[in-house]
Amino acid sequence: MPSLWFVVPAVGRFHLTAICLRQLRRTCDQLERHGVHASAVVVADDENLDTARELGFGWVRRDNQFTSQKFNDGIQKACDVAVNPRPVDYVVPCGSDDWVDWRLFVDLPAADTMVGFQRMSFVREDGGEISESLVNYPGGCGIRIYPRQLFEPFGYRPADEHRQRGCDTSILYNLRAEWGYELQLHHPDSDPRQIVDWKSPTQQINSYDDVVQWRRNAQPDPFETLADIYPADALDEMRNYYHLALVPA
Amino acid sequence: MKYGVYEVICSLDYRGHSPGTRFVARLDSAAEARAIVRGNIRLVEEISSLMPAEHELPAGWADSTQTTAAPSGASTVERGK
Repeated sequence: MPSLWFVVPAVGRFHLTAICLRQLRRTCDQLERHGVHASAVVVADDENLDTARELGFGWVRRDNQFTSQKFNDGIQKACDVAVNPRPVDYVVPCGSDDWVDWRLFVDLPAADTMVGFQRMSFVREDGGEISESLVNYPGGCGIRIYPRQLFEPFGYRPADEHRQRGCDTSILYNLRAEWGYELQLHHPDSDPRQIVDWKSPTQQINSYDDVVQWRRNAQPDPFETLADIYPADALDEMRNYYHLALVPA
Repeated sequence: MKYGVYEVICSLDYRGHSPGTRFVARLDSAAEARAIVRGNIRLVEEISSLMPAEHELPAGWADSTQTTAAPSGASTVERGK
């Protein structure tokens, strides 16, 4: 049974992050039922660590100065036998405002192959629109499946340490520099709703408008659009989050 | 695994880092030596671990009876550099 951890850097946005981590807990539980030993590690230095503990996830306490350092901390915690007696076989970086469908992680790649997903969905900051996107560059969006072996030459810290953004690009660049043509890159076909980025009114690296170049097929009701992929409990929680966020205090 | 804090001491960028700035990296020893000899960078400090002091495994992970099996294709990865 292969093992997999999601690596989740987080900062602030406690309500939204808690909803997304609870959904990630369901994702991990589904993976366990389908033959993948799955968990997550949250990297933060605030209330989000409490949520991680409550859900049984691992955690690393790190300030928010460099996002890439947080990814490296989580990846090292997952993969390095010096800090994890049962290092995982696969790592998936995941945003603290993302939902991912467990079905994407059942068919896992060979040790020389990175899997990147190019289709995903974004939900507008007010929760009133969802659109599909094709992120058509190598590696696709930041949700990627990395076999642990690929990170070994980097001491399991594959991103440049001092980056605020572009962490996924940094990892891919470094992997290619290290492995050259030995690194295989696979972009499986997937439904864009299997990866959802929930935009919030506060604190995010890219807004809904920032990703306009990839956007298409906008739909007015994200919760109806996602109903056959994600559980009703999770969708209800998220619907309430947007409702509360939009009601003036 | 050793890392270093380096300072860019020449008037040009070094690997995307501006003159006068410090950065943390794990450099190949030959590349590090060349850059130091050329006067591009200086080693400020060697670091043996970048992992923060406080971290915890997922609940029950260490006690799990699950073994990590080598994924299919693992044996095909060889260093060909």
